[in-house]
Amino acid sequence: MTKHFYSLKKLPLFAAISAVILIVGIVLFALFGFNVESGAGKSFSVTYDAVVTIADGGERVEEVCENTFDSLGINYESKSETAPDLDNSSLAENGDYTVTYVFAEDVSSETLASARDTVESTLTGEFEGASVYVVVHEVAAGASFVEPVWRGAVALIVAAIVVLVYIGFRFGWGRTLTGLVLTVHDVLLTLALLAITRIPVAAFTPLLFAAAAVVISLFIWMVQCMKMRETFKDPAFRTMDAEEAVNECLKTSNKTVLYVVAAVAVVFIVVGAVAAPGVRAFFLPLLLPLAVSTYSSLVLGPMVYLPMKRMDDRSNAKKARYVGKKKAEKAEE
Amino acid sequence: MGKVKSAICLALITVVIAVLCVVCFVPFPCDGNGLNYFNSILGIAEKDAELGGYLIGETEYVGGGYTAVLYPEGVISGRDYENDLSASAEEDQAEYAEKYSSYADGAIYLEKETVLDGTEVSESFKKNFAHSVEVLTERIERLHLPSASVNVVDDYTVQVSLPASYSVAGAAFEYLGRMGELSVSFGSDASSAETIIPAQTGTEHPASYYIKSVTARTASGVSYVIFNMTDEGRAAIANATSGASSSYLYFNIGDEALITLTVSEQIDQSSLYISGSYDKDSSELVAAILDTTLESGTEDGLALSVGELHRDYASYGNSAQMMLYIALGVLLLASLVFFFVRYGRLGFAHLYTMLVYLIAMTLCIWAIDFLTLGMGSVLAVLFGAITLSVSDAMSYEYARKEYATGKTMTFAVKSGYKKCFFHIFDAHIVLAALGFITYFIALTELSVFAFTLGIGMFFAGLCSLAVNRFCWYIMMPFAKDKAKFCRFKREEVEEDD
Repeated sequence: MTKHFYSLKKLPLFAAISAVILIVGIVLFALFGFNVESGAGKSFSVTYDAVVTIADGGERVEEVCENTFDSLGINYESKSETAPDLDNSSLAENGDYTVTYVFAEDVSSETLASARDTVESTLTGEFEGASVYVVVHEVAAGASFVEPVWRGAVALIVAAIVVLVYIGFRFGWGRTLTGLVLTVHDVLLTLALLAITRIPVAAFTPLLFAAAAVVISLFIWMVQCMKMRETFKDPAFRTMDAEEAVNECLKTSNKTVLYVVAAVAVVFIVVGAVAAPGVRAFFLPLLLPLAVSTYSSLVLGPMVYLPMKRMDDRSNAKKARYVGKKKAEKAEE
Repeated sequence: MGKVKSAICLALITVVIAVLCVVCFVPFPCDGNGLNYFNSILGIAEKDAELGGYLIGETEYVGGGYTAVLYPEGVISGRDYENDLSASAEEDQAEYAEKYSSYADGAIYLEKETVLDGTEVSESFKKNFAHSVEVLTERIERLHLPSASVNVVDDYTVQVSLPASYSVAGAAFEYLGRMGELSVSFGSDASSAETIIPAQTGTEHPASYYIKSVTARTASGVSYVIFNMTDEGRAAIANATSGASSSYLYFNIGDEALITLTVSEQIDQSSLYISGSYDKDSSELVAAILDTTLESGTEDGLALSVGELHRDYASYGNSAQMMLYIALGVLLLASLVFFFVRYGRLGFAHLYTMLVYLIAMTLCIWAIDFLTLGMGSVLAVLFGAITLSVSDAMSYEYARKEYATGKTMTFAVKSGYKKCFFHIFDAHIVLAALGFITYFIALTELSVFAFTLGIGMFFAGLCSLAVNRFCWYIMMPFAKDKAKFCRFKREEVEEDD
C-alpha cells in the first residue's frame, strides 16, 4: 500500500503545530501586545528662525545636534525632517523651523538636558541674533482608537463569510468549510507570529496584515479548489477513494500554487528590497501571511478537506447509485 | 479581423495608451525656464501621511500631516514663558516668574493658582485634564482619519497629529479642544441670549434630555449637522422661536458658541438640519464635537488651546515615493521579461493589458475622493496586478494546451478562454466582493485598502478577460507564423513504423 502524504492520521500533528504557535502568540500578545510603534519616548526639538535658515538652510543645526548626540553616546530612534512651523489659525508658515529627534524612553533625561544646553549654546554662538530654542519633551504612548479595530475585524469576518458562501455554490460546501477553517487559521496564525516575532509595526499594520492574510488565504485556496474541481472531473479520479484522489490531484495543483506564491513573494521582496525603510518595514513582514497561507493551503488544507471529500463522495455515490471501482472490490471482498 | 483593421485598431490603442501613460505617470516642464510644469495624475493624486502629502501649487508637497500641541488653561510652553518673561518690564519679571512653576525640566510651566495645590499638581486639575484628553481622543476617533494620533506630552499637554489631506485641519485644532457643557440659547445677540436648553449634567434635565444626538450627513453635495431632538427639546425650541423674526439660536460649548443659526420663523422640528457653509469634513467635525459634548461634557471641562503647530513631512521620508515607484517599475519589468521569454511577442498583449490596468487604477485613486496613495492602496494595486498577471498566464497556458492538441490558433484561443473563463471570473469576483464588503464596514486604512482591492479586482478581471483577449486578437494578424508569435508548439506524436 502506498503511503500518502495527505492522510487524516497526520492532521493532529499539523493541528498541534498550529495550536502551539497560536498559544505562544496569544500568551505573548496578552503580555506585551504587538510591537506597535506607539510614539512613546523622549523628543528633542530644535526650533530656529529665518536667521539660521538664510545662513545655511538649517543643515548646521542638524550637524550640531548629531555631533552632540555622538559625543554623549546616545542614538536617536527617528528624526522628523525639518518642518516649517505654522500660524495657528491660517496654517501659513511663520518662518520658524523645527527639527525633532525621538529617543527611546530609557535615554536619561540628564543626558538629554546636557545635549540641550550644548546645542543651544553652540547654535546661539554660531548664529548671532538668531532665535534658537531647544526643548526636551516626554511623550507618552499614543491613544489607541478601538472603533477601527473592531469594525475592521467585523468587516473581514462578514466579507470572508459572504465570499465563502459564493465558493460554496461554485466549488461545493466541503471546500467552503475547509476554506473557512483555513482563513480563520491563517489570520490567527499570522497575528500570532506577528506577536511572537516582535516585528515593529505601525498601529494600523496588524489589521492590514489580517486583511492580507484573508486575501492571500482565500486566493490560494481558490487556486487549489479550481485545480481540484478540474482534476476530479477526470473519470480516472472517480474510481479512487478520497485520500488517493486528493494526493494525486495535489501532485499537479501544488505546483500551480507554488508558482502563484512565488510570484507574490517576488513582489513583496522586490518592493521590500528597493523601497525606502518605512515601506520595507511594511512589505517584508507581509511574507509572514504569505508563508502561513502557503503552509495551510499546501499542507493543512488538503488534510482538513479529506473527511469532507469522503462525505461528498459518499453522498454523490448515494445519489448516483455508483460505487467506485476500488470500493466495489472492497465490498465484494 | 483583417490586417488593415488590426493595424488601425492597434495604432489607435497604442496612441491612446501612450498618451494616457504620459498624462498619468510622466511629469515634465512645459517651457525652458521651468516656470510651467506639467504634473502627472500620479503626482497630483493625494498621498497619505506616510508616503507624502497632497500637492499645492504645481510642484510643492504640503507634507504628510500637521502636529499641534494643545495646552490646558494654566499651562504654557517653556518658550512662551521665556518670551513673556523677557517681554515684561523688569520690575514685573519677578512677579511673573512667581506666578509659574517649572515642570518637566522647563519644557512647560504651570500656573500656580490654577494648576497647583501647594507644590503638587492638584487632583482636580489631573482629573479634569484626563477627562479632556478622553473627550479629545473620542472626538478624533469619530473623525475616522487615517494616521491621526493623540499623545500626552510632559503629563499635561496633548500632541495631536492630523493628516494633511484632512481639509479642515486648522479648524479642527481650534475646535477639538473646546470643553464644557452643551447649551442652546436664543436671542438677538450672544451676550443677551437666553438659555433655552439648560445644561445641568447630573441633574433632572441634562442637555441629553432635550437632544438625543448630533450627527452629520452629506446628500447631493450639501452637508448638514443634524440635531435629533427629544419631544422636550423640540418643544423648548418651538416655544422659544415662536414669533421670531430675526434672532439667533446659539449652540454653545461652555461659554463659546460653535454654531450660530439665524432664525426668521418658528422652528418646530424633531430633527434640526443645519447646512450653512459646511462641507463633509467640517460637518462631521462639528457633529463629533457637539455629540461628544452632549455625551460627556462637564461643567469643569478643561478647554485645550493650540500652542505650537507645525507641518510634518511624509513619515517614511522624502524619497519613499520615488523608491516605491522604482520598485514597482522593476516588478513591471520582471513581469514583462517573464511573459516575453515564455510567450514571445504575446508579451505585448500582456504589456498593453497591464498598462491599461495601471492607468485605470491611477485615475481611480486620483478621482475618488477618499482614496489616497498609501501603503494600503499600493498593496491592493499590487494584489490586482498579481491576479492580472496570473490570469493572463493562465489564459495563455490554456490556449497553449489547446493548440498543442492540434487545434488551429484561433480555435485554441477561443477554446482556451472558454475553459479558463470561470477560473478567472471566480478569482476576481471573490476578491472584489471581499474588498467591497470590507470597505462598507471598515474604517480608515483598511477601508482604503479594501475599496482599492475591490476596484483593482474589477479592473484586473476586465483587463484580463476583455483587453488582453482583444489585444491578442488584433496583434495576431501581423504574425506570419502564429505559433511562433506565441511560442506555442504542437504535441509531438510518435508515429508507428
